[in-house]
Amino acid sequence: MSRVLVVGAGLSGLACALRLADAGAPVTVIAAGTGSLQLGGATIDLLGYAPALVQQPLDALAGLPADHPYSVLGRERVVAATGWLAERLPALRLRGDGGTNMLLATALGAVRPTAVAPAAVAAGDLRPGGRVVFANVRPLRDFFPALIAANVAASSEVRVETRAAEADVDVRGDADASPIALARALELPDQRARITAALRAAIGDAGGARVGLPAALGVDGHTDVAEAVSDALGAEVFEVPTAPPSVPGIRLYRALLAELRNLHVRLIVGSTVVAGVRAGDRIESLDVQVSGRIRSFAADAVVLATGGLATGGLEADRDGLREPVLGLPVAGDPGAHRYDADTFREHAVDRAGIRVDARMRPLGDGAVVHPNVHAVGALVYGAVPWRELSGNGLALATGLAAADAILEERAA
Amino acid sequence: MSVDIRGSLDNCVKCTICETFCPVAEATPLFPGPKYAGPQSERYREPGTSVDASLDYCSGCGICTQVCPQGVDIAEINARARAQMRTERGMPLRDRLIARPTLVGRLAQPVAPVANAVMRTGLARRAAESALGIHRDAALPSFSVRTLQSRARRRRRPGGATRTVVYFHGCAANYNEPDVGMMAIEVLEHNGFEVIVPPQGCCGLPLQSNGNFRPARSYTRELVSRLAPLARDGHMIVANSTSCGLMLKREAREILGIDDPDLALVGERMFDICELLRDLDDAGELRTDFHPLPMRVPYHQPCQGRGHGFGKPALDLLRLIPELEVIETDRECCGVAGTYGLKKEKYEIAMRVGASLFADIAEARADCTACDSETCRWHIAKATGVPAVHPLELLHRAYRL
Repeated sequence: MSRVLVVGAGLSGLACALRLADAGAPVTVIAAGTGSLQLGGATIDLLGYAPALVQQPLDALAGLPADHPYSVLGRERVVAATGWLAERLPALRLRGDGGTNMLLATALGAVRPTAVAPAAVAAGDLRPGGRVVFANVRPLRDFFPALIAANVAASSEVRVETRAAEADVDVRGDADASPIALARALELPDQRARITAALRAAIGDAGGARVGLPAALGVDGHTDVAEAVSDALGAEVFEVPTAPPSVPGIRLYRALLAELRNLHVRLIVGSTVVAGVRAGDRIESLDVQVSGRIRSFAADAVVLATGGLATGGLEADRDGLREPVLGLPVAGDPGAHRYDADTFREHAVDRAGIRVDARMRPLGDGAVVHPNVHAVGALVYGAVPWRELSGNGLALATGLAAADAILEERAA
Repeated sequence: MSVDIRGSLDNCVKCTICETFCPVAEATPLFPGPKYAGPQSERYREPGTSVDASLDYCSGCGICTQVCPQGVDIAEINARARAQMRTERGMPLRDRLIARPTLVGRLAQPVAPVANAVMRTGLARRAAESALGIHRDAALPSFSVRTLQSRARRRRRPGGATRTVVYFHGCAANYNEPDVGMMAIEVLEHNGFEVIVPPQGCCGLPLQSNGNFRPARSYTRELVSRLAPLARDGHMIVANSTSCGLMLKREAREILGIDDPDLALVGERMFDICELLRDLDDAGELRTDFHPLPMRVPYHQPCQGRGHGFGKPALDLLRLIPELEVIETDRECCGVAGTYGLKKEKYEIAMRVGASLFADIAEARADCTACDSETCRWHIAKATGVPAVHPLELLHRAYRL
């Protein structure tokens, strides 16, 4: 039986798989491991810098170069993709529609623009100004409220009065608790009461200020935990993203996987696709290293959502870049001459990837390479997500575009 | 193919994904988590210097390796380090005993009714706890009066088989659950297989998971010497224990370090029974003359099932049965992890690991739970009071064999 094979379990792959499964297509997701959703803050960054700070991201799309993936997709698709996740997964309580960017504090107190964020994160939008207390539960590692408070106060983008507070609380006896350990503790009513009491004592009277806490307000019971913590502190609370693991990212990953399971999508996490088998110009199956053997998975269509250089979607050696699964042509490869003395300048390799058409089909010399193959997410050529702040926006828009192209083809 | 397990630690980028999935680290602060115990500590280990005893609390469920996006063989690194630690610090008698199911089975089977009755008494269990360190409340299997081998030899074989398959039943089906083994045979025969049941022993997995590699390797080699000639003849081998099947597919090579072409061949020809049947279904060759089973059944995939890289074939098969309401549970582990949850000092941890699964099962008001692995079934049934069956038992029932 032929199925649609989605390779990769990041946002682009999972969104694509969900859209396909919603339409009744038989889908198998094959991933080398858990995708990077657990590392990011679960915000949908559409376009944050171009190159100056972007206030209206959807309006700013028109100014992007013609070979940028957003330009290839067209504004309409990007608008639809931006709203899709909030509508499809209402339990995530996503806020924002891409009309204007909110401005959120990072774990270092930088102010970053984003288009869509979970309600508890969006509640930390700094544009309205006012007073904010950044607070931490001390054993939580890598989270420094004084640093955040000072940097946010010094930002030229927002006018916020800040202060910091820290509570010393035992979290399971850990000397350095991780965000997930704190989130699990906060889900237990007695632990939560103890932790919030200490936080309240450390903060004192919030006096109408919002309280920014590490993003660890519960995992599965997040909505209830956030409300209970807010009540206990007598203040509006919001979540500030932490160093990994990202609890909001875990919530997003789990929510997507739960939907896929409900739709009977086959999920294979921990196996690596090693090659594709061609029949004419189509890819008819993928060879996957599973336990004990290489196994062939018949493919009706293939979606490569394997990521860029950082996650193995592209590989580099001294001669240049290559796409390891199907050997697709890589655009923008700086080749062997890639030394750049300016470490912080944009580098040619940032933009490198698979050039695609509007149906996300890989192009080589301007022609479609394999008509039943689609490349999505960070694998696609033409964007610089870390600089533009466009990663998850691109992941959604390209992932859904590939799904729609496959569905159209199946209907035809 | 030789594998560089230790070298894979260089790929670790400290992303912490493994830490968020580890069910033991969630249940107890005694285990510092797979990243810390694995790639982080491994750099400091050398023969003669095991750096920390907390490693002993890893249950070996393997989720860390599966979720790692960077290809670090975390569980395998930890399994090898645990064996090294055991070599240096000694092996309790208990861990030598409970890791030899064939030995225990051969001793208990001739006196099965007496052994079963004795082991059901509180007195015997308290004695086993204080003398051996086997927790008094841990689920232990009972022993069958007749082994599967003896029943399989005497069974009536249907004619008309169109293909053959070798059945690797493992220790549990032979000594504890021969009914499950017979059902496996009958389901395969119903689907047109002639089932060959060769003499066979333990795969060595319990010894491996207890860090006792040397005897584990000899068990594996002995079993491989029996299965390899059949694999060379082109037969598929089918296992109904997900963990024993995985041992021959992968773990004997990657954890025990057995680099042997016969093992590779056996691993390549090894199929989990649900994997084999689902492949048949995908090819349109599975018999689907299922009668309705109006039941409510949560399905829990054992940890070792995930390690195969085949999705959830049992779930796909159970969904073919009319009127069977299958509830897919989404929990990493039931806690028992083979022999881990039997141990006095780890039983409470195993119960905490499984708590959310047990709650799901209770909430489902289920007729029974389905799970592919025998030790998980025994643990889940004991903890929930709800019977636990192998998925193929439901297939067998729906086929009305």
